[in-house]
Amino acid sequence: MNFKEFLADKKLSCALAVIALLTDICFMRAYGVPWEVVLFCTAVLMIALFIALMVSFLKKRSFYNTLNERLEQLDKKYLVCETLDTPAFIEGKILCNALYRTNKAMCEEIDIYRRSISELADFVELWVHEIKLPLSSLELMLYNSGYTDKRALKQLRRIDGCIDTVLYYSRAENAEKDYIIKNASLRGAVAEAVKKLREDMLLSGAELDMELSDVSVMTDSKWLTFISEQILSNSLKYLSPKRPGKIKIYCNEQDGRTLLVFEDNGIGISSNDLARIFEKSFTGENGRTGQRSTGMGLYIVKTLCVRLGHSLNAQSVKDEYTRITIGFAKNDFYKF
Amino acid sequence: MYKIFIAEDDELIRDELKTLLENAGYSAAAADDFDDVCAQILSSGCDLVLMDINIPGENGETLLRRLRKSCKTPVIMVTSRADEADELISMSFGADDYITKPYNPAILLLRISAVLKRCGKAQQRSYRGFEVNSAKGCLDNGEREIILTKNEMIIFRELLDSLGEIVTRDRLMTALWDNDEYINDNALTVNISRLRAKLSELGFDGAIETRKKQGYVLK
Repeated sequence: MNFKEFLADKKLSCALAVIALLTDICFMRAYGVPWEVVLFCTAVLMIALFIALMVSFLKKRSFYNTLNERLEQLDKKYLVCETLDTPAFIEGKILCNALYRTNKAMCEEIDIYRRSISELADFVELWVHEIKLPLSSLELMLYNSGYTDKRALKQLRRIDGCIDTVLYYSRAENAEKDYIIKNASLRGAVAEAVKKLREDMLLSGAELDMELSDVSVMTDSKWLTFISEQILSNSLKYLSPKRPGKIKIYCNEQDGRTLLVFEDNGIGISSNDLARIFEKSFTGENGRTGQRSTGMGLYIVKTLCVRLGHSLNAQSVKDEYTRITIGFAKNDFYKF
Repeated sequence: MYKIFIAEDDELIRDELKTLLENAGYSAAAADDFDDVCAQILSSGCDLVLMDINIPGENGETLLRRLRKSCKTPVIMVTSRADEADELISMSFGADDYITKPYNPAILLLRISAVLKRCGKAQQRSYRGFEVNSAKGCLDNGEREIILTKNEMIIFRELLDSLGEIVTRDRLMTALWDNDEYINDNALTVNISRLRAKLSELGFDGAIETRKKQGYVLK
């Protein structure tokens, strides 16, 4: 706020003051008051008015300029109220009070949603725990009856996979849900995923070449297992019918970072789609033409990687290969 | 025969687990009420405990801690929570292994036998006078020695565990995959014929018999 803007805002009061002064001058002259007296009175009045205007201007300028500055600087703009001193003029006080009250109301409103989301997340965790019991019974029953039908087992595994997707979606979306980042064996976490996909892997006839040395990375190993499972099941889903399937899992070091690479010789991803595969609900060419896809798997993978602080990249050439790389931050970063 | 104690509150799973273990040649006992599981375990004289982490009353963690004060019976924890914390806690309280629901029953059996072996409860391993030396990866009778690859050794040990009985390809596959050997069907066939050739060298022709559509038998 500068003085010009301030005056423009006060133009009615100023105009009235000028009119009043001119009227006064005319009135005094009509009664024969000498010019010296008229000028003196006018000057005194004008100086008093000017000082009053200036004081009011300075107070307002300091308050509103601070407000604007803080708004610029603040990351969370709704906190601006907390950073201001109580202003010394009435509009400022009213404004601050109103800001404070609307803020409070909004916080309460947000809290309702936050609580309901967190309750939903708790329920999802509980529900997943519950639903795994009948799944366990079913799997045991199948096994005890001699595994006569492998197709039934495959469907069971599919249900289990879908349930895990729900669980990890809920975990990825809820910042409050905790995870444990600790030194974990890369090999162990990935092996867990590979074992879960054994039936699919054997049915597809794909050859798996896993060469992971005993590297440990800072991650939540359960999350990493889920991430690996999603990536690998995509590889299995989009194998090329033209050649025998091959999936390679390996790791290497780059600038002190550990890179975990999943590579397959499947149908690949077209260059148009490649940039968007980690977007929510993106199915792309492959998802539409071949197997049905929900477009959620890789989105969850991306979200989990972001939460864990891992980088995630995809490279692919259509009809040749797909390569997904996860980068783990330098270990020292987390060390205490 | 090894006795395994099951602490699991879901009745259906408990019964199926019992059947599973009995079919696999173990004797199984289970807790029916959860007032004092610790005492039940101790009085059962079992060789291994399969414990759900979420049993009612005392939870799995406290139970494990209490159990560890009085005995060293190996414990495998079972849980449905895909949660790192549970795993950390139970391992630090002295569980011998950890498995997540819904587990693969074949893997569960494998883990049970692995834990029993590790705790020195498995029998001496030898085959027709040849000692099976897993550490050196060979069969050896003092005069002759024959080297087996890691895959061949896993297969041979699995067959030897059920000497004279049919071992399914699925079971062999489970054992291989659980030992981080991710081979496919063809590779298994190749490994079996190599193992056969090596056994023939020792003069054991036809030691591994193929039962069509069922599996293999080591004689």
